[in-house]
Amino acid sequence: MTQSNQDGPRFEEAVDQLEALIEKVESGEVGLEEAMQHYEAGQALIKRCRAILDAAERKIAELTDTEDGRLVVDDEEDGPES
Amino acid sequence: MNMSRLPFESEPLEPTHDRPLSVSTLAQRIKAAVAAGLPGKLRVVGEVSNFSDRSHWFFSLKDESATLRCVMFASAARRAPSGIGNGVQVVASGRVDFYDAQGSVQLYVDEIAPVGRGDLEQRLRELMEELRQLGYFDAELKRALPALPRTVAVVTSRAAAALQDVINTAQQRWAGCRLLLKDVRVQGEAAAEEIAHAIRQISRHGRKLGIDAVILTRGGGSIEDLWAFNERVVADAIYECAIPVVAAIGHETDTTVAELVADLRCATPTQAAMTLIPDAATLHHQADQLHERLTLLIKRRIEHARQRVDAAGRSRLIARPDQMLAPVRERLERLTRQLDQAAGRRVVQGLSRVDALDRQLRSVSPVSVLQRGYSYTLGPDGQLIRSQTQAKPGDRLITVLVDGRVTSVVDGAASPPAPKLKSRKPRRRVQGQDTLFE
Repeated sequence: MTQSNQDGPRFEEAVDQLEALIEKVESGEVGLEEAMQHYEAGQALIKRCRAILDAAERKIAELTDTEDGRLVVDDEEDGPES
Repeated sequence: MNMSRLPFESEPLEPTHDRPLSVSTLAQRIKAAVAAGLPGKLRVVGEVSNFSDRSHWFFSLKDESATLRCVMFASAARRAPSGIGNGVQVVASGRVDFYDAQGSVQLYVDEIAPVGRGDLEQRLRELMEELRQLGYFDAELKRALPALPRTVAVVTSRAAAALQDVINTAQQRWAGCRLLLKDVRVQGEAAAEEIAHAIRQISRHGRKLGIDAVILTRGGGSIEDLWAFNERVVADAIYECAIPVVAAIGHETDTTVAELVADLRCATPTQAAMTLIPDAATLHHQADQLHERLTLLIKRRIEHARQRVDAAGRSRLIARPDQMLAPVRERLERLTRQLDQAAGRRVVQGLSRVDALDRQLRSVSPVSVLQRGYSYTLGPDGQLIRSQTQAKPGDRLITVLVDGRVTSVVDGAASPPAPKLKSRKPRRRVQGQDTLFE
């Protein structure tokens, strides 16, 4: 199952947040202490982005229709999920 | 000679149960029957399909219910007009013969000419026009693709080479992308409905499953093979799909309705996967750049802050507070000097005045009077004797002189004072002691 949302923002959100805080710091509107806080937050976001990029999924799973008309992921096909 | 080589005339027209025909014999009979039953040259109208143009052309002509194999040899094919291909409605001229090596009746085409577009293409053109007018292809309705799709549904046949292309490409670009196959038939009568159902299901349930995008794909094939992707039901499903759809159907030259309705059309399954799934290495690089940018930015901020602190530190107030204080100090000193001077003058004035008063005081002191030879007498009670009436016989009197005291005893009665003296003394007393000490 997808774990992307459990440990933090999605990649796009992380990048958006990162760019937003960089712009904020660049604009010079924030004080030094706040800029340092943004820096810390930025480091965490970059770490998050890298973790997402380094993830590896199983090759492929299959979608199947259930009898009651739902769509489910058939996880019977096994593969490495590291 | 075996039985198959028996002359045609010697064979009975109807096969007998006791004497089976050889394949060759029957083939010859068919060949003869075809030749006898059909004119030597005929024209047939139909739609070209399964078109293969090596040096010789091989294709089929078909209509709603029948298909006829056709051959056009290179010499004839060279004379054929351009534009002949799958889906094209043509009139072919030639002869029909039975090709015994393959056991098939074929049309040997001498001439061929298109009669406008084939029926399928006509239908396709009409559908495209209708959908265009309905806005199905409008660029502004295309949904944006996710920058980094975590999960991608692949709608295709499990057996398709296209699926493997997508899997391989996804793995190469970003192994973190999860692929979910929705296995559907991609050709044949049921295909369109299956594909449409799959897309509707993904649209309905996909978000819950984390699906960010759909790849709808199929390898190359004839227009008939790809026809499912030209059906209205598929177009509707894609148009209404809540999740972005990338389509790569057939070869690059084929354009299906599904691809036009999709949010993005790609030439091949590989290209679809490449377009949708970003290259992790590139994103890593971007993350690095953002990191560098942020680090540089914060360093600059800190440097700027440090410079401000340094600049403040160099200011006269902080760096040379003595300089700032010097004028104040000078002024204070000046004032102090002024004060001292002023005070000094006052002291001198005061002292001289004290001296004057001292002299004045000394001049009136009883001591100075005594020095001049005067004395005074005190009675037994220590009171100054100012009158003879204060001294009775036997009283001990003390006379104070400039250099000491003399004690004496009164031994006689007081004599009446001289009238002059008596009259002067009280007057003096009234005026005070000043006169006595002058």
